Amino acid sequence: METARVTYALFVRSLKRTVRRPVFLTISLFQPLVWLFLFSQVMKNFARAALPPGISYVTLFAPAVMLQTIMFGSFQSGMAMVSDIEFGMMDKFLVSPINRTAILLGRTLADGARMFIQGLIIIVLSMALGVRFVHGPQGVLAALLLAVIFGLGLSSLSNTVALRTKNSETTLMVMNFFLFPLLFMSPAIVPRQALPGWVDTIGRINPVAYAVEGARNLMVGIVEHGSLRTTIDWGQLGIAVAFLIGIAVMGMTLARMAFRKATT
Amino acid sequence: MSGLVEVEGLTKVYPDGTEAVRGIDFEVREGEFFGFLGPNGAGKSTTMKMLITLMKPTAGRATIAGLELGRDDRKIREVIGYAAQDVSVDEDLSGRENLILSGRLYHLSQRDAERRADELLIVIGLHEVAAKRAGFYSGGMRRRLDLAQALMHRPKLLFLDEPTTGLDPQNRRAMWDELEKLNREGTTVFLTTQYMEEADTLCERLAIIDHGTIVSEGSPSALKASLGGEVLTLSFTTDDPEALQQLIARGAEALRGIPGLEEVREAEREVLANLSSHAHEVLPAALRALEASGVEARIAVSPPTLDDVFIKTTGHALRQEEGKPTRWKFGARRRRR
Repeated sequence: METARVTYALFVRSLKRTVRRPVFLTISLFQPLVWLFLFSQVMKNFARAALPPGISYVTLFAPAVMLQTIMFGSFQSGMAMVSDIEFGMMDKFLVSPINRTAILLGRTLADGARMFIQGLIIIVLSMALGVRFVHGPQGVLAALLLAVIFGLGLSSLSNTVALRTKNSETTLMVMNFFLFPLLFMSPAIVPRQALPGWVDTIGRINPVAYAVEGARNLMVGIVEHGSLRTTIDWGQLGIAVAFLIGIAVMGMTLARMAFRKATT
Repeated sequence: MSGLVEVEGLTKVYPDGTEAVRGIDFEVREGEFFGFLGPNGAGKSTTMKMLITLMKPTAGRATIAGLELGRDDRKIREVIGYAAQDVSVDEDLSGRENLILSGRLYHLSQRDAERRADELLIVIGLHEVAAKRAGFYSGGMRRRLDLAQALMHRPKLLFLDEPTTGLDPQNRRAMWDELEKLNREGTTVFLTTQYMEEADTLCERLAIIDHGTIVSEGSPSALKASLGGEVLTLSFTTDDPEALQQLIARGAEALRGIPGLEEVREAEREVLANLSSHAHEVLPAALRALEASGVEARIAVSPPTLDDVFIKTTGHALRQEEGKPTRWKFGARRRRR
């Protein structure tokens, strides 16, 4: 009970920190706008050949933008961890008699809430751009949760790097180093049909590919045999959910281990 | 067990082989104002970090309020408060929110935390800016907020790592008053400092630490008295250089041979002598001798300063050099502004 209260206090504190940084708020609003408008304009001609007839690039792209935003926002967690260590807040938490699990847990919950809101913003923007969600609000919500689970895996990994290096630049670089290639080797930006065969093969172990296709599956439908499948592909979804939960559990376990190592 | 803190053979060797603390023993008694005086890198902060459960000792043992360090850490954390050398406040939270968060970390209910926060905001004089974000506070305000955070749960024992380093004289003075008041009200205080004056003003008892070892320990006055020698100074009012020379020579002559006065020496404008016994035994004879020789002089007997104690016990002056940058798990951080 005490632990739940402390976790809540730390959760609120992390959220306040996020919300009160105007730069963060502005960027997290404008970046998806840039992705959605600019990027979709630039990319649509490249992707046209691989698109099913009558389906706009932005329709397929919207779930990917939601995912990307959550993915690239996940580093913040690690960077906030570094700043807490550097500026002594961590010491303050550690000399207090709290259950230390609350420190990571509060932060993770705040990450989840932040990601949920970021995803929601993009969903609203996509609707304004005329994207149709074929499985209704339930599908959108499920996709959002899937993306948040993946995002929590990534934010936990960023915390792992942060706790091991105690350096925010390194945290940012390590995460970018892995995420950018994974993003471009997934069908997020370029439709699957337009990807080289070997990249598509790598896609079988690329979590970003599972996340993107899973989100499309639940939001706008996936491209299959040159047309858009508008019923849920349960097989794909099942594998994606299992894979992404696996990533999240692995990330959180690593973060816990790193935290324990750094604090004892 | 009489000590609130009892330390035996406490040792810290960093992974890189640096022996930061080399088997020290000391105790802090309940209700006292205890200090660690030493230069940067002497092992003050490392000792404190071990006692507040932030860092594991390499060897040795310690108890805090009867609780065993390493075994009862969680209980120890409940009875102690800690303010770090570098102020740590959450700049995105208001002063009041910072305090409430600290209260919550010590399991105060939201209401109790709010009440205590409002009380402390008045004590530290931040009630008017309580709703402002701590990021906008000045250095002195942050220090006070940081201290108040450590007081939210009314700790029995307060650990302060160089609480006034980086403060201007006025803010330092105010912090001293605050700390003395806390101590008077019953909080046991253990502070580290590299300032002689601070140790002298605040501490009832202090340990001088250098290169990871306690080189001497006692009340500031006992430490100074242990040097024995007070210094007698004759000074003269005349501005005429020739007359001054004469007075110095005659004054020195008069003092020589008086029992209890040693190394009578002529300085540029004064005559100096070391006292080898108590001033009240030596002074009457000195006065009679001066009267007899007709030398008009001002006489002063001054005790040795902590500076003298430091030089005597460590073999060097309290240097204010930069400590060797040691990387440890937590606590090695940049200063923000």
